Amino acid sequence: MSLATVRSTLKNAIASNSNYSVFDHVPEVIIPPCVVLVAGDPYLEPLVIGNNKGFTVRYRIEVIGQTFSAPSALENLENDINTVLGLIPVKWSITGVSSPRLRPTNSTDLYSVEIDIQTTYSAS
Amino acid sequence: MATTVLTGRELVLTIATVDYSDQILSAVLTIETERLTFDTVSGRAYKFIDKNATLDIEFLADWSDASGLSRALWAAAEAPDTPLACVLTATTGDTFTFNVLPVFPNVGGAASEGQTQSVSLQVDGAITEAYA
Repeated sequence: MSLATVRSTLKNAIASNSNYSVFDHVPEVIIPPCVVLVAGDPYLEPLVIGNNKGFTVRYRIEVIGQTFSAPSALENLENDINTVLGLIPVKWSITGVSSPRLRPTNSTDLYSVEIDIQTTYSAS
Repeated sequence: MATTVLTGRELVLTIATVDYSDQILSAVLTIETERLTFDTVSGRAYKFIDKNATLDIEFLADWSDASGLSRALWAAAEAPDTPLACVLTATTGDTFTFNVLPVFPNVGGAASEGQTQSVSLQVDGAITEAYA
């Protein structure tokens, strides 16, 4: 299985609702609410003995909400977090969810959290 | 002598002729030596008594795989006195051949991690080494 397949499968799993848009790459223009899959760090890490390309693969799910009207923006973001957490396939371990924070970009500020997940991946 | 490093990517472990390397996170064969120490008037003296070997392996749980190590080890442990033949390859051509006695693997794990299992298998009999 290729990494592109791993990524698209994960994207499809967490996209089964109309609450937000989902991207498996960083879009040119980020329009919240949306979810963006980016590689975690380290992206791939050798997992098993031998040379059969068995790795731990990590992704970071950026859940991005709108910044206006702070109280409801936080609640909307938390609702999206709950939705994403429930849709992440059980083969993926959820290793942490960051605190919500404002993230400045070139065009606007984004309200976002990061969900770190990992699973095993065989490249052979 | 050239400086050489052997990595875990060179290890291969077969148990009962099946290569489970795709599933095994770590494999370590340890031989402990038991030795008596005597304090004599001329200094310390040592006497070898016995040695004991174990194969410690940690591996990914794979209960859904009928040909995986989890099910195989569980089934083997139903006959705990029947040894399993093992070959641990440190690097190509350098092998250690021995028998182990099976034990039941643990089941379960932490919420934020993948399920792993670890066992310490008693080595039964001699270890035969072969070098390339």
